[in-house]
Amino acid sequence: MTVEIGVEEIEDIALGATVLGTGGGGDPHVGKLVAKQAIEEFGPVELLPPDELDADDFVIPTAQMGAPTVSVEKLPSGREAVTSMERIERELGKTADATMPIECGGINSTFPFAVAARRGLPVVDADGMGRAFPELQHETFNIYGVSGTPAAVSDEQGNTCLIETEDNDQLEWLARGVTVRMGGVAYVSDYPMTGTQVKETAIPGTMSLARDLGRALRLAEDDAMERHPRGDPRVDLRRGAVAVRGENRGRPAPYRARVRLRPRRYRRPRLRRGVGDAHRVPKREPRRGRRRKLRGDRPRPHHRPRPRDGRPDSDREPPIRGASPRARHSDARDNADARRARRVGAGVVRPRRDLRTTRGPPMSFDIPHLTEVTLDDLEALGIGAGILGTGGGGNPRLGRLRLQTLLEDDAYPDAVELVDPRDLPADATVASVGGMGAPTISVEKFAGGDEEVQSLRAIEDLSGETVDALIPGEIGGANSMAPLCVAAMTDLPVVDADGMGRAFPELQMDTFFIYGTPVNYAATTDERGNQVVYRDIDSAKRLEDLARAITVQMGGRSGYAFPLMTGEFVSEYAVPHTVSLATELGRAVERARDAGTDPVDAGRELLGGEELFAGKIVDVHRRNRDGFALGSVTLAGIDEDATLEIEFQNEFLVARDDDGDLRTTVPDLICLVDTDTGAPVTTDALRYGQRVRVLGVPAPELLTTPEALDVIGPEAFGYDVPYDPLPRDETGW
Amino acid sequence: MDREEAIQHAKDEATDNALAAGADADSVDIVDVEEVPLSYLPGNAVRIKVKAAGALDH
Repeated sequence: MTVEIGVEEIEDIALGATVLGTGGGGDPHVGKLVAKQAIEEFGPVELLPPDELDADDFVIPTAQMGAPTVSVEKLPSGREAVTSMERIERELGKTADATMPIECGGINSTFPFAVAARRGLPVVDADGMGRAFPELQHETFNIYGVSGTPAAVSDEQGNTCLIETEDNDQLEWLARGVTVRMGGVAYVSDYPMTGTQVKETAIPGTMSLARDLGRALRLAEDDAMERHPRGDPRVDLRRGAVAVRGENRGRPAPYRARVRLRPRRYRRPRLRRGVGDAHRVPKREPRRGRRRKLRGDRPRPHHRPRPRDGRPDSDREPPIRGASPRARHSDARDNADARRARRVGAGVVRPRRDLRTTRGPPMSFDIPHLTEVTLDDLEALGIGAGILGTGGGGNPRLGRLRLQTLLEDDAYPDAVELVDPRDLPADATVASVGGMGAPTISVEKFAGGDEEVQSLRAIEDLSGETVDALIPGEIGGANSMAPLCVAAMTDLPVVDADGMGRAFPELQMDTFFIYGTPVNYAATTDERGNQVVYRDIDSAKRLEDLARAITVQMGGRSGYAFPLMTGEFVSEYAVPHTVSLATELGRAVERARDAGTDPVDAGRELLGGEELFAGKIVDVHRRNRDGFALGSVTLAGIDEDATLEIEFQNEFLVARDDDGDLRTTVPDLICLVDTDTGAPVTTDALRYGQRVRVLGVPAPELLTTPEALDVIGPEAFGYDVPYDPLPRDETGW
Repeated sequence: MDREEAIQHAKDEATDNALAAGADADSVDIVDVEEVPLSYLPGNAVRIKVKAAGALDH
């Protein structure tokens, strides 16, 4: 059965061969036009499988040689390769029975069809490379012993050069020189072969492959175009959304320009656990120890009204042992508790009483407190955590994607349970988990998924304790999501609080350590499972130094778990309700976006902050050093000529105005958000030309005490100024 | 040269190129500055790429 190549098949061959051509082979468009013109004039060409050749058939491959950049300008006449082929026929005294391509790519796949059409010859369905290579001796004919000469090179003016060499490398050398002299592009016939030689040395079936590949691509593109008939769509396969560009051309695209043809809450189909999934999603950890009911049976109002006498929780009874049903113990449990109490004295911390300067549990915002985090909350939580993260904490998007994968998977729970810090039993064991490393590295060096879980298991093993709840170390960026991922994987609840209320670069800056938790047990794990555990470190700063050095050696990112704390300590010294705050903040921004009002203002108002600056980034100066992303970013005001310089060390630390005076410093939050969308801008995403607004939010009360300022005040970061707090709203934290 | 000098030098060169290509002098503006540290080279080598654009001057 003869396969005929007509005008349509030439199109497909050109497309498929361009893909196979690995970037070279000459311009496919020109080759396609030349071949089409020849076929239209002289008729379709037969594509001959190599095994249908007789042993003594005479085959002369034809091709164009020279730089592709020249070939798009220096158009061929169409007769050149025929000239070179005829020169070889004259030299050897034989007529060609077929021609074939030397490589699969660009012009050189379609060119032989033009030659074949003019001469009425078939094209052998094979070639000499299976792809494209720069030089003539790269052909398989040469590799498997066929002589390249006599070879002929001709140009579009009819000049021909016959080359005879002993050595095929010399053929390339001379032919290339002649081609350059001929103007940079010339047409060559070389490696004249018998049918046997073609069968033994050519790569068969490549023209059919190119044709089938081109056809498949063309049909797929047509199919995609058909499904989106509106205008000239560009399909964004990642998000299932279609961007219609026509009506927005010429105008700056607001975030609303992306038109969704699918419903807004598009979800990927739920993952089914199959045999092939084992490597993708870590196995769910079996529950260890008894699961504690942490919420108790007291009815929980969705929104706590603030009591009138000024003290935050005067209407709430403290958690007293034995008074509530959950604390009634059987004999068996008494013994277990007694044993535990002895162990607790040895390992888990008691807070240093002399450092307690706050009266009762710390203040928090007036917002609804979530009881669980579901898939619907993730986007809002990502936005809020990114804003509270003051530029650091890791890119929230990556953390969100991870958590989304877990929550969508059937094998893991659909939601992560949140526990109010005030509801924690005093003797519950709480551990903080998260990731450490520079954010700039974490966006490139993807995590394994279970580093934090492994660290958690390590400290449980080391201490003999069973952790009852997890708490984020910082609410900024990805570290707000990491404990939720761990919670989904280990079926533990997460405390609706965190250790900073923002993000800070170093570990000793957690309120847990500021207010006295000793570093009893800690562990860091990298994505390969390499684990380093720390016992009885004498200070949190020393832990920071050690763990940071180890994390840098691990490649710049690791998952940590430390320290072990009691529920009582956490309820007093963790910044409360920050997970709910981050979610509510994200919701406020989203609502403002949908309503068309200013999302930045909505966020600012919820946090009780002020807008420090609005402008464009004109300079970003980065130095990655000692495991931190250090640097400064300079903003130029849109309206005034003022500038603001913000220095950062993973997180934004201080804001300096034109005169060099520090306007806002740590611990107050300096948050950069996009001017139009209110989306947070992290330090690793800073780029020249971004239009941003700077929000200043007063720091949580727990960060403004004298012992906290020793660790996280401006002097601790090397700035010789006293802390000048931003004006604080009464309803804030 | 130090960093500010180098960036300014690149900006000037980009602006000159834009003007030479026929941009209107008032409308030329720096639209992108990219600074990539070349960590594999000794010293503090950095590659600076500056793009300047302006409306065609008729």
